[in-house]
Amino acid sequence: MFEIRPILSALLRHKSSTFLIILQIAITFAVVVNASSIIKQRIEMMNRESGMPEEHLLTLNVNAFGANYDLENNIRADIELLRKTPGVVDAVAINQVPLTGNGDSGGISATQEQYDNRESIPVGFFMGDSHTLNTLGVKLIEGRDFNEQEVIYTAERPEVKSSIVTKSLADKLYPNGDALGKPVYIGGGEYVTIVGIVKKMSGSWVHSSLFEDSMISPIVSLDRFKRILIRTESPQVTAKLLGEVEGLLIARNSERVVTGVRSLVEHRARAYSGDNAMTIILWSVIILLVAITALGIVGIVSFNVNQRIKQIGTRRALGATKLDILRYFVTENILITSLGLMVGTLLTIGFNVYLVDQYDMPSFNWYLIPVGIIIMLLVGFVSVLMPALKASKVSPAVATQSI
Amino acid sequence: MLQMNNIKKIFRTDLVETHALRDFSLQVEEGEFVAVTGPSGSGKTTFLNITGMLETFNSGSYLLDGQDVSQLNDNQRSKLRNEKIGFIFQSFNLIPDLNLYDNVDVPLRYRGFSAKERKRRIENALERVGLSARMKHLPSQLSGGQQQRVAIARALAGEPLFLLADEPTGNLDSLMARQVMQLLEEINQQGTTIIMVTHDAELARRAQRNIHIVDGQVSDYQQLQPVLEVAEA
Repeated sequence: MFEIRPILSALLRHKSSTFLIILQIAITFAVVVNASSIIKQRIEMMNRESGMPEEHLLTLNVNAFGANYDLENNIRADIELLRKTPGVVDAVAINQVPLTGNGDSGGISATQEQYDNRESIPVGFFMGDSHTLNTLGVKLIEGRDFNEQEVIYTAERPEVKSSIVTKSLADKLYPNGDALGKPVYIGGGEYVTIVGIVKKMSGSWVHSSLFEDSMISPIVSLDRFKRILIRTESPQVTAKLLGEVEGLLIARNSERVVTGVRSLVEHRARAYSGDNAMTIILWSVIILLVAITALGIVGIVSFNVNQRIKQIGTRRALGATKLDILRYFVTENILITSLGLMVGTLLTIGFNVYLVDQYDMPSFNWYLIPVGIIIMLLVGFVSVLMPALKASKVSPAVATQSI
Repeated sequence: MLQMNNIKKIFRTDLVETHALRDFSLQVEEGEFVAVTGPSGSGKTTFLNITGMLETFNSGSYLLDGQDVSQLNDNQRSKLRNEKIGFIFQSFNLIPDLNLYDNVDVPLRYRGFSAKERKRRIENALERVGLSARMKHLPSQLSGGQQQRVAIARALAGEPLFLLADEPTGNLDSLMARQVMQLLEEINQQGTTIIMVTHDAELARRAQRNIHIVDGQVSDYQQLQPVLEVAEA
């Protein structure tokens, strides 16, 4: 016996207060579902596998200032020194480090014609010697790694013949899965041959569409500014080296400055700091909105209970049990919440269409709506419980009192 | 039908102990129209609340249709109240957001009748009080007398053992009061037992039997005579 019809007709006689609470629930629901969707997308993005042993990786920049600084020999010597350092698995001089937000990118294609038609695929260009894959810790799933002989040390634009690409990029270039041994056009009529494919490797720009599409070339460019990536045996060695590596390099040659000594874990945290902050803000918004709505429900039901003390007493006198009274207010609240959620669902879809349209965001997963509905119904139920319990305790003797 | 023996009701606060009913005994038979009178503070409302099972009592026994009320829990009292008693309140106590039909429906829903049975009872009850044409009206669209008639219809719809009326004409002007009283008399003549609590001596005289409460006890009928005479004069 849920008295749905009389409750509805009573609600219709208080249109403005009912409408306001329905609107509040609807807006809360729309914001909560869309915010949850954004949070979910951000978390998924932050949890993407990088394909690298991040806790074992650290990076630094070497800026040479000496007048007669021999770039090639110093790079070779630095890397040699680092590779011989206890606890270091490998090290490489590299043009960019994953997750750092800096580096080189460009467009490549499977055919010259595609390249000329500007149908190229955006990629991150990584350059390093034959230790690059080992230092990055990425897994080669097809083909081979670079050998010493094909590595070019140069300050000019080199003529490379081979490259290693990520699986994601290989599949974009050659959707049939036969990229190995195939050419990749890099502009100016030049092409390189894919000699290896790695399973997964993060790019430098975490929010970019080319995040998973990288190409590695066997080049060590001779620049005064050089990035170095080091892979260690353990996170403990990484932590130790973070404090020692600068001294180690400067001790070998003091004609340079060592900057930006950071672990890849720190780079990751920096790269996703905005997303992390956004997630925290959105969680706060959700909690705040839900709390305000819950308090709103508590407030309006408490107000209704206080307004209807005599009515409740009369119902009790006419035969309502305590449970009947409790059920009356819970049913009333479920009806209001349900109406709010119906409006809210339409609002959620509209809001999402707007977000997708205006901000190019992915649309939300449909299951967030039923999950949101269940959560909001629970919130409504919990909110109404306290004032409804208070109502159920009203004595039937109130019916004969002059209040 | 209704048997109260030595009912005692005490209200206690930290400082004061008030004996609202002292060894109160009363028996009401089926078909009677009993008026309960008494001065202000005599215990009329306490009597009404205990008779209507709206309040519990400290000692004594109360048998309603053979059932010992003191042994019942809150839910059982609610059920018994719903089945056996038709309440008529001084301020009508209609639910302002519900139309007449839904107002009369309130106790029937708690009884768990089917929608069809409820409809039959509501229509009959409203017909009986002459308001069947205004079922969809809200209480606020009716006069005080009409509202009290709706309350009587609500009390009658459940076909209770007796009607318990609390100053049923207290909030009405004399014309409307007369009409309502007439209606109650008709209902009683048709066989419904009525217990009416009132401070109005004239109204009390129209009942078959008068119970006068003084200091929480039933006073002799003789003691009531001077009161009635004064009222008559």
